[in-house]
Amino acid sequence: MQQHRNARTPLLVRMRDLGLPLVALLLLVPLVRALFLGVLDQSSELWPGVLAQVALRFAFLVVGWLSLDTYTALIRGEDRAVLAILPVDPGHVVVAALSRVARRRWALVPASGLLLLPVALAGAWVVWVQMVVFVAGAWALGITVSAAVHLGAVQLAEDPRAEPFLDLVRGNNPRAQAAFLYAPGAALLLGGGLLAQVSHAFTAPPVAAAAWLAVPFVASAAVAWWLPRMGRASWFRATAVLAEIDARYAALTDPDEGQRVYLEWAIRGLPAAVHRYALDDLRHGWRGRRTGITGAWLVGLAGVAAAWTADPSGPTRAWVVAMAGVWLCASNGVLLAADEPPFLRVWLPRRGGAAQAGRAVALFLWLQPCVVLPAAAVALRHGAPAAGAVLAGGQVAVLGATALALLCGRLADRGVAVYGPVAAVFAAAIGLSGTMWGSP
Amino acid sequence: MSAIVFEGVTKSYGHVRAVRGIDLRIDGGFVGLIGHNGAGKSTCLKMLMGLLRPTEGRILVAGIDVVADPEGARNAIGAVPEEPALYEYLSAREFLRFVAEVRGRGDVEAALALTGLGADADRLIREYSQGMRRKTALAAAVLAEPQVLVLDEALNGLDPPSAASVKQALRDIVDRGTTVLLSTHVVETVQAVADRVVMLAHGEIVADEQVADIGDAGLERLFLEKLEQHRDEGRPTG
Repeated sequence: MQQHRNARTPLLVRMRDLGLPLVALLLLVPLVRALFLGVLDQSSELWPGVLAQVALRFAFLVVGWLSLDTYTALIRGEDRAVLAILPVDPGHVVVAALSRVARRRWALVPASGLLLLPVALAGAWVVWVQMVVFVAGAWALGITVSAAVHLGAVQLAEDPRAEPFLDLVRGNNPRAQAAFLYAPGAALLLGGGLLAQVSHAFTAPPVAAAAWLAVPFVASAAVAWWLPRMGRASWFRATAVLAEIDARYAALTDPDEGQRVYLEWAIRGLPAAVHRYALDDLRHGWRGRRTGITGAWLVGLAGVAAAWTADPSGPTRAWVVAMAGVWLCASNGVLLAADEPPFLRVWLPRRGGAAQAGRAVALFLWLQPCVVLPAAAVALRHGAPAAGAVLAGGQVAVLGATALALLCGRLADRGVAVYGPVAAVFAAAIGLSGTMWGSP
Repeated sequence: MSAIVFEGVTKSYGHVRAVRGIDLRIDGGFVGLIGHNGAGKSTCLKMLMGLLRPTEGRILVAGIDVVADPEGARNAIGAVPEEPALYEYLSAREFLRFVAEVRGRGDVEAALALTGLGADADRLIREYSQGMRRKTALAAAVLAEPQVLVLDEALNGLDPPSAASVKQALRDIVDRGTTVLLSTHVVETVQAVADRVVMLAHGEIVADEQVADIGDAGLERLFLEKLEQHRDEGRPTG
């Protein structure tokens, strides 16, 4: 597997890449303290049970994140196209791919430790150490269990005995794809199920707690021992399974789909100079970044769920979800700039205000579900004034996130590295302002 | 032992049959696989490389079943897919060293010389033109002198001097005992370098001839005749 030469980056650039996320994390600490660690203001007798639940949520996040990463590394990664025609040992390929995931994502554990630092500062050092070890166990399980599930999905995709089940759950997808579609969920179920049991460590006596906390590492080691064998049985086969899936998707595709562009109707009134760029971005975004763009609707639904309560904190929760979602989903603008096809830059050079305005319009439209849905839910459950505040604040965030995404888009490959931390800082600051002022 | 064997190979995508019951035995030499767009050439070669599975039948390379023993089959095959994938952040020389290490053998400098990449061998692959990328993939395929060389439209995009030198180099490789299977829709290429030509139309073999038996300028006429004949027998031509 290739060694990226451009990884030999100057010290200052590496310090920036490390320093910006660190600053962002430190700024997120008060938000985490306000949203998740309110129990620290209450009696310490309540802490173990509540902090176990907090640690469990961090662990779920880590397992879910790593299950997606391992899918990319093992199944749809860039190595497959190069290595699939070579006589590589698939067992070694699997180990190398997972080692790379581990190296790239080791920071999830110290980052979690940093975000949970208020626990230690409140004097509960032992519980804080337990929480960090618990997240580290989730990190190990997230890599190994996810890898086993994804490699197992290759077997399942080709197993005639699984056909009735896969047909039942595949929807409009090719049968084999159903096995991969649900694999991250299965990994989360298996890893999360085990971690839910292990979370008893927080309420157990010290020796039993240590034993519980060791369980994820032991389970990970046991699974890791099997992974090279599973790789030898599945890695080459996956190439053929994926080719089959892609061919069937091509056959399933509606011939008119290529002509349809999400939100095209919303830009019809734009001046022609801006319209061509906006349409171009809407089209390429919808084809290349569909998951991220539809993610705005998921954020919006999460905002609705947060607002849909009689509790007076509903608007604040909806506000926080909308803020986080806006800054997260605006990263589509940076990613769009980073993976723009080279021919397009030649055919339609992105210079001048019209190009920037076109992309700004596309981003503005994509982000609307993050704000409008929660605001609508707040209006129905908590009244127009609170909804107006969520809507107005949300639109300010949309404009800010769009501007930042456009600026970072100019940095091409480096754009995401800058956008992520800066956006996290803004999201934390605005989200925190909502929680400090109470209902927005 | 035959270098390549297709036994009753069929490939279907749902109701679409891309390859229909192909039987083919290649014992050696330089074989050209020609056919119209959508004839099934690339599907056949992808199945041979192990990138697709036959729906029915089996494929053997140097006696090894490509599905049952994928690693063994890949050891016997050097391949250039239609759209070769390379590591963008390696130079051609580094990439070839990597491939030689994976294969456990191979002369990197000879492969670079063969494809005329020597002067650019230390530039990053991401800076290469399409033609240079194809040359790199070709060099990677030939460097370990595999028993079978599979080239899917591999001479497309090469400039005329490079194409000429690669064709000569391929002839030399064949003379040293490697079996070459080259798919192309350019009839002249096959006529210039191949010993044998296999014609595909609509997923079936419609002709299998020695190039020497066809004569000058006869291959294109034969191809069109076979296509016409196949259509008259009831196959759609689209």
